Amino acid sequence: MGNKKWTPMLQERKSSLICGIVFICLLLTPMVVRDAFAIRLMTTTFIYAIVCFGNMLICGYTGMMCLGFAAFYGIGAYVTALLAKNYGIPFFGCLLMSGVVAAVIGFVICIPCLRLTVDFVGLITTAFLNIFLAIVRNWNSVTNGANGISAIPRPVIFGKKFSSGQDFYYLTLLVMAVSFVILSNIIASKIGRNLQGIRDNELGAISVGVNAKRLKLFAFTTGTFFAGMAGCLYAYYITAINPNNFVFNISTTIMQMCILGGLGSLPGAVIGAAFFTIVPEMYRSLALYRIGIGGLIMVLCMLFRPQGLLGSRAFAGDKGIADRLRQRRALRAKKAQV
Amino acid sequence: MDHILEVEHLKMYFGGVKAVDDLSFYVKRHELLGLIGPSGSGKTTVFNALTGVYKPTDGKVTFNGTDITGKPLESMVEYGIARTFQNLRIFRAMTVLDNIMIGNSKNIHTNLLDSILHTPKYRKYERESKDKARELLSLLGLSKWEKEYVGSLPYGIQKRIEFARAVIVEPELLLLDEPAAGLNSKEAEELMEMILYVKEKKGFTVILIDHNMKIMMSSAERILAMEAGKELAVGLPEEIQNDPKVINAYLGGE
Repeated sequence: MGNKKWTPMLQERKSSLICGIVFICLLLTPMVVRDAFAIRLMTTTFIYAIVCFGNMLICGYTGMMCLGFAAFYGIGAYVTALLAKNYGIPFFGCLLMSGVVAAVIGFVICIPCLRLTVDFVGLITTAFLNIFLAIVRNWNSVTNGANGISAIPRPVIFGKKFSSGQDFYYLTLLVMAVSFVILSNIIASKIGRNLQGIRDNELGAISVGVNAKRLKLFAFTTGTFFAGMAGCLYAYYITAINPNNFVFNISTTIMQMCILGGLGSLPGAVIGAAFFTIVPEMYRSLALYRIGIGGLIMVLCMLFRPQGLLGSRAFAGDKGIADRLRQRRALRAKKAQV
Repeated sequence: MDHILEVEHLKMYFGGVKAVDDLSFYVKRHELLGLIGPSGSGKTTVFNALTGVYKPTDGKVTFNGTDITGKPLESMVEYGIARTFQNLRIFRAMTVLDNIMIGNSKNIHTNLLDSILHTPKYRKYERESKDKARELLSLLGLSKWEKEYVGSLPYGIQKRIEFARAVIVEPELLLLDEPAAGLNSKEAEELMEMILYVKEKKGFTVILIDHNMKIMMSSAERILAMEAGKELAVGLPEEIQNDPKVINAYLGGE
């Protein structure tokens, strides 16, 4: 049905307007919210949102389920940790290098994935994650093994040292906003359309001239670039990283964020990231029981709202259990009338 | 060149299964060639072997004088060949307009920077593409579904959308694999009318696979009948209809 009072052009502008308003609210938040813990949660959310953008591009828009995504996040973090601590490379250099190294490795990993179906892409990338962790844990001379790298220096940007919670809040918010705009624009274009075509029906897309191999490589490389950048921010933020920060559980958390937010929705990535960063703090008191909550939320999501919070209805189809029950009820009502 | 497509001794073997067994035929420019045969006779396999979904075991395929034997599917649009699929390969989670616009990608000449910055060049191509897509939607009576997600639309409309996506590619040769399958007789008639209208208007050459003999008789200019991967008979519709071999294979047609 839709809003009849909004013309098509205004409809597109409407979502841009909402995003703009949200951004301004986020900019103003530290002036209202003084609680350092809340600021910390939001900063973490922004960093995770950037990783989720990358995953959204690869999985939500292109259909490749990269279960080893934490590896690229970790690659970015380690690159920044090493360059900043050992070589004094400035912020923008580290940010760029983290993205580039993650992207190059992403490119290489994507090549065997091109011919494979979704399940095997998941396997290959999980295997890569294990390789990454094995290297990091054992290459003591460079990565300091299981102890990780600590005392990562704070970034100095245009002469100002970013060390306070508020500083990082604004830094990560800015990087997230710029990433969001760049990725939204790409997705709205021919590239984004063709990627979604590949997701929905690869052979169908190829039959109308879409170069699936080249586009998949592009999506994977770009997605891992953003993961690397997020890793850079993460390393600067917590100043000490170790291999356990990038285990498989992180990959699944990122997936959960994307699924809950809605695969195929970039704003959904932010909401998913916020949900899985903030909500776990609320049930921290449940201690041991909270380990299964992420999984429980996923099950509920699949049952009642497979397209996530902001994803498109068509992505999930009418396959949720709630939908089936609704259909059955409607059928029964019809039969009762007759 | 009189013949837009020439197929010589095409063989498509899957191990011991001879799906297409030494098939030779030609297609005249601007004609509609019907391809009929009982299920499993190899019709869709011929399409797949022609368009690079499978690599032919043997044989030669010449399109407009160029040898395209075994060339991959992604190159077909460049050569000027588009196809539809028997089991609908549309993009269910996207709008009708997006589905059609994906077919028009080759006419959008923007690079990555244009896409990131939404430059004037990008806006111009997007607008042109949307206008062209909307024009085609209006021609095929699909305008009112423009913003709907394809996955939620009725089957008949989805078939029309897949046809529209192949049309916007603006090929010289259009391969249609059972476009009317699963439609009731009224929908099938409507679709065939549309196909013939578009064919005349845009000057396409069409190879049409269908089981419906009535459709074949009324739309095909020549018919190639297949059985078990081989040619059974080829000729005018009336000839095929009365050919004893065809009647035998089909037991009277529809």
